[in-house]
Amino acid sequence: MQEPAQVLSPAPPPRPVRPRRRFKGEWLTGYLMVMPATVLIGLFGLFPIGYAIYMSVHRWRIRKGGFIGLDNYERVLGSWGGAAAFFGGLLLILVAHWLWTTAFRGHSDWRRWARLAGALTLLSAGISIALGWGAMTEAGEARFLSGLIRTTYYGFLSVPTQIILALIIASLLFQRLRGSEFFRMVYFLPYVTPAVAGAAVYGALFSPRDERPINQLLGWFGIPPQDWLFEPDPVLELIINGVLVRWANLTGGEPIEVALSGFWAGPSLALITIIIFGIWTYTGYNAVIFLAGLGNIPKDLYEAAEIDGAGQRQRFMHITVPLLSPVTFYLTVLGFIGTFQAFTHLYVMRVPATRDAVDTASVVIFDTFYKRNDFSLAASQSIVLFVIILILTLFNQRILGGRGQ
Amino acid sequence: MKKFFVLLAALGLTFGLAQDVESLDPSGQTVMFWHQHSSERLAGLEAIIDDFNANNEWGITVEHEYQGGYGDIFQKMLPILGTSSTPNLVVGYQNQAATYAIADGMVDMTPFVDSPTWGLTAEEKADFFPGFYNADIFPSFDNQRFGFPPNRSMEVLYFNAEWINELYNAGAISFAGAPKTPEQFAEAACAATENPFSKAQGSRSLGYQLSTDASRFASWTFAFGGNVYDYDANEYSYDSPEAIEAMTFLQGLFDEGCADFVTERYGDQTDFGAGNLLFTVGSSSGLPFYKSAVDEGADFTWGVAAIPHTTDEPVQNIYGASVSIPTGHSAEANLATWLFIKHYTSVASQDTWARASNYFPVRQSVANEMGDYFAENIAYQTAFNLLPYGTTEPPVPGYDFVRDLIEGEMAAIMDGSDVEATLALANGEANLILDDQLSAMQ
Amino acid sequence: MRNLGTRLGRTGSGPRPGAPDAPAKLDAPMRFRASHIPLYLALLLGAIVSITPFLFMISTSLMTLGETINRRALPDVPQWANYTEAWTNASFDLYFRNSVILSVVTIAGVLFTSTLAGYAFARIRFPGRNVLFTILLSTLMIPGTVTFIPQFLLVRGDIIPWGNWLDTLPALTVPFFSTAFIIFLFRQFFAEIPNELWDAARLDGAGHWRFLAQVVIPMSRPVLTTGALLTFVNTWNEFLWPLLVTYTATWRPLGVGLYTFIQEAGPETHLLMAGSVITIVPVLIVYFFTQKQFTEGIATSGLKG
Repeated sequence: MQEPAQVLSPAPPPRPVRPRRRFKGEWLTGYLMVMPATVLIGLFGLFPIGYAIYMSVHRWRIRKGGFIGLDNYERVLGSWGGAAAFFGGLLLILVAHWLWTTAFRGHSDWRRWARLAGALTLLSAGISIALGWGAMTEAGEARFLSGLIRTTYYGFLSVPTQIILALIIASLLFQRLRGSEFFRMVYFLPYVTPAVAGAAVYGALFSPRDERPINQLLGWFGIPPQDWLFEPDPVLELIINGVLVRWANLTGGEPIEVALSGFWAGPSLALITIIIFGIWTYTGYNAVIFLAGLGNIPKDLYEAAEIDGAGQRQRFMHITVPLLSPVTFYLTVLGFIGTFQAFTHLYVMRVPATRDAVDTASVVIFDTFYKRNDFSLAASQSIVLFVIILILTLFNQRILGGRGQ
Repeated sequence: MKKFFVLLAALGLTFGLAQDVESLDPSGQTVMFWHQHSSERLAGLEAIIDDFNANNEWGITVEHEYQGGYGDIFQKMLPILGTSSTPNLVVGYQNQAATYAIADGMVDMTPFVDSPTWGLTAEEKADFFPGFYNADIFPSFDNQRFGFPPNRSMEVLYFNAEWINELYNAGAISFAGAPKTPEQFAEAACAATENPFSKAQGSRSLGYQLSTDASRFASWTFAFGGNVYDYDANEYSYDSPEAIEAMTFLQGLFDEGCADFVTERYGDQTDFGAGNLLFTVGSSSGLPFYKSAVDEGADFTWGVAAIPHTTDEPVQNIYGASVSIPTGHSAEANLATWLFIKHYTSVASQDTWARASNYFPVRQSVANEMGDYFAENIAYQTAFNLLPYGTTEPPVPGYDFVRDLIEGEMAAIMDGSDVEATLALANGEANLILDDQLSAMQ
Repeated sequence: MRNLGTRLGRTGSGPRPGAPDAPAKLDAPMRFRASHIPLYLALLLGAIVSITPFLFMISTSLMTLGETINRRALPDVPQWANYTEAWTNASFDLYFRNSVILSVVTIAGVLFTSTLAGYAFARIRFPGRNVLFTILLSTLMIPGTVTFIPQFLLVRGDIIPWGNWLDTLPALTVPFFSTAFIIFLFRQFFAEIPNELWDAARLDGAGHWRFLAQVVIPMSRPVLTTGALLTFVNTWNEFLWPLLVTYTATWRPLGVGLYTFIQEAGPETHLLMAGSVITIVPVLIVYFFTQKQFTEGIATSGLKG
């Protein structure tokens, strides 16, 4: 293997070599090193995205038709004004964050005003998103847009849960406890289980029948059996009604029944069941990556802390968590990318009775493609989802990932 | 002007093909067949193919490859339609063939089937069950034939005969044997919910479990004398009076607590086998699985029957994948492929195939060969005798998408939605989907 | 070439006085203490959640067809023959060989491209670095549904005239030689390597290539192993892409074999479960033998993290 960097920087330099020369050499090395990956990803990752954009602006059923411009995007988004307000609102959040944390850092007088401006920006971002979304849902593709809401539930419920659980599990497994090899295997098991087999087992465990394991478990706590995958009602509504019935039983009154709807009603129990399946599958994966991260933390840091009298909890909070933050960043970014286009778990678990309560954007895209055979509409739906994930990733990078960059 | 010449050329090609079919020479061709069969079915198929390869007079060789399930084959076909990468023969449902046809991906088999040299004689054609034979002729594509049926299944009523007898003897119901009409079906279903079966293994007792499936919707609508598709107007008719009647009937059963949803994969089979469920409706291809469920379950006498109907004669929902010839190959290769199809649907092959697959054969005279099999599988024979009453679900592109829509609405209806309003809305949406699909053909 | 490690050893401050000998501590598990009980309880609870579905799977894999139809919890008599039946029905002997080859080839490709790219993205400043990285990462953000057709056209040689790869080894491996997932993972870890090491290497006259080969790779075993393992699991369980780009069984992996049990033929759940257990076990064995790598940690020499 060639070593251009070495050729260009004669050894041993007592002080840094002249910046210009060194930089050129570094650049070349950098480009050479990223070339194989870039070529491959360019071909098998970027080209398909370009192709999807190309498909989305043509009539394209099973075969390509004429150019139709942005018609499909209009079909999906409903209203250009609404879409602009919605996506603009999302970007405003970034601006608000910048104003709050970064702008005029060091100018304490201006900083206060910057923060005030940040708060106001955030407020207007919220209003813009809400109004924009309202306008979009009026005329846009209802199936896809409501799918996006379920995608949001899926991502924002799955990712934090997976990461917190995985961090706890990984730090427990990292202790040199007896039998930890066994536990590590057990925790890794779900990730290597083929999805179809896992889905078959979950279907049996979370069956609506009251003699099935999970409903029996609920029974031990005095909770009535649930319909799980067959339950289209929001889980929040079920809990509130359950409590109200309890209350009515205690007081001898008539139970009141609430019905929740809209975005803040939250996900259906059916979707939650699938989210649990997803968490079960991926927590072990996250834990393995955390384990690798723990393995990279120098042991003597802990030892030094122990000598200084730091307790186990302090060591966890002040050494483990901060030093794992690049790993956490990695898992958060990829977790959101993964859950926002999660497909297999949903597809193998969904049942007709609750399709409207569980179909996420990626499932809608699949149906548009293979059942409706509208390739160009599916492509434009994909591009919209792509843009949303991209913005979300920018959020992650700006807000969480100070260390990631 | 350019369009005109293209049209002329296309006409000439079709005409020329029809003319030249007789003089084509299929000798020495190799035919690639893509299918979804595994285990016993695969063994049966291999026997048929080996027989053809060893004995056909033209030296045609048929090769076959498993390519995943129906959905995978469909996915695989889409990017290669019209190219020589396609197989010579592919398994697919009618609506899938219709989708391929949108991209000119299907060969019209009519010239082969009707050819005096290579085709079927009038007697042979008459031997096919008429419903099966016509199912692959596509009304939305000028009645071209884009497929040929090697097998079919049928939706039948599975019933617990012993339990029905108990109910009759106890005076809980007014008839004996399988219910003939929806009224009898409802009567028995509700009586069974109240009066558990003596051999039941579980505590719950129920009349009927419905799986929310577009084929169930079609079956019940057929039984009420209607259809889900209006073939004259070429549009869906999910809001026809018969469909409304059928769904109102099922909704009534749910309301009275005599019916419920199937909530686990094959949960109706289980409950039926355990003696907790009096009726289920499902595909005849499930026969061996019902047999195992009963044998290993409550072990009772059971049977299959026509779906209880308001019509004089039963109307049974028949379905099944056909085999189609994709475009992208020479006329000789297509002819060789047809010759294999002809062999595949011959009486001898059909006998082998029906036994190996538990599907129904597509020719009536195969019954003469299958006497011993009938004797061992009474339920199969009963169902076989219902085949003449078959009708089919619509062979239109986009049907899979409409199925999803209908299944969701069906669940909503059983949960209490207004039948008429729900179906009117659903039908409107289904027809929009259909328009959208058909507009792609122009 | 001189080994940099010896030189690097001198730059560190050495083990802290009074600190226990780290390697010795690594090898022996801690003795049981009463304070461990809550840890064990937590681990046990999680383990039950993780393993219950798997126990269900094993139990089902030993049932008769009738027992699965009737949803028994346990088989009366374990049907070990299910395993041989699943093995032969799904042509597992061929698929097993294929899966092993596909995994090894893919892992080699992934480690090669991702180590280089991850290193460059983490440690070399070049114009357009962050933009390029974000672009590469963005390829993960589009659903596979619409990218399948262009990818298919690529491996068929329609876009670039490199011949038709369908049904060959490259079609199943080359598209996976480089994924932004692993590059990102490696970048995150390589970025954490202390700058002191690089400064020392430079003093020694080493360039990036040598630093990567002699310092970074040896000390990144946990993450390299992780990358290899994750690639292995993905390749091992893949079924959709292999099914779509192969016409014959020649290169099909285990996942496709498993697939034959979930067709419309009926609920052959017992065989599906037996087949699943067969595919899971090798992965567990590989994991068992590599798991030490994850937790081994950097050989400490007083370098700050």
